[in-house]
Amino acid sequence: MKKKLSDMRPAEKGRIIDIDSSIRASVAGMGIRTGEELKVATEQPIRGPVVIVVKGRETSLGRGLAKSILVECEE
Amino acid sequence: MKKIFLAGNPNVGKSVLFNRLSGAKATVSNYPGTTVDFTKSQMWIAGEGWEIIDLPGAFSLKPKDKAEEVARDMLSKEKPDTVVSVIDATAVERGLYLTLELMEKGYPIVVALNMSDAARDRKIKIDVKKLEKILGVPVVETVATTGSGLKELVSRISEAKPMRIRSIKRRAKGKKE
Repeated sequence: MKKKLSDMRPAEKGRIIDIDSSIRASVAGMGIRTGEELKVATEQPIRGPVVIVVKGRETSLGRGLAKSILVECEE
Repeated sequence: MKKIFLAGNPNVGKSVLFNRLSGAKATVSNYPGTTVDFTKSQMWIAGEGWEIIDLPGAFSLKPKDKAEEVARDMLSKEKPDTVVSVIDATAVERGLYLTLELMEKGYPIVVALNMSDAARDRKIKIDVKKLEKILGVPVVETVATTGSGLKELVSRISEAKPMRIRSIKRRAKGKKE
């Protein structure tokens, strides 16, 4: 099932299938690229950042960025 | 005075390295984003005074927050003579992104594979010679917290040079120059 990263739940896993071109370059340096697998570590309350694990490294992303990342989620 | 910049992802030990190299006391902590502004000091390399600047952590030169903006602006305004690209040896791939961006901009680079002790503990093996051959610039394993590798790092700063991405690509594919 396709979902925005911002709509994923903690512990949910998936593979990145699309990143909005406007933010693609700025998140690439964090290892966030199309085709990478990721897992949501925690979601901060009150619309805080989303913490994800990519290649064994935790990275936090603001909700604005997370909204622009499309993920094919594992069932 | 010649300028040397320390650049790298957040929480890779830039400020520890900075303190070690300059004898200064930049605030150091074990979480990312401690340095959101830059810190300046001076150091001596082979009898010559250099200005050393500790940049805030950045994943990319295309900024998405204040710290990354400061890093990018400092680099473009101050025109460093050498940039030490500090990479977390346990996350080399991620760190190389910024390193290659810096190379693309034409800065003379030296790579510090910092926290190489942590990489060893995790059984991560890095072929430093091969990485150096592909990148075409000095690559030195360091442990800033203990000072290991810093002498070599400083001694190789003079070897830093700009490198074209095209030639790096060619070497990465295993082709001869």
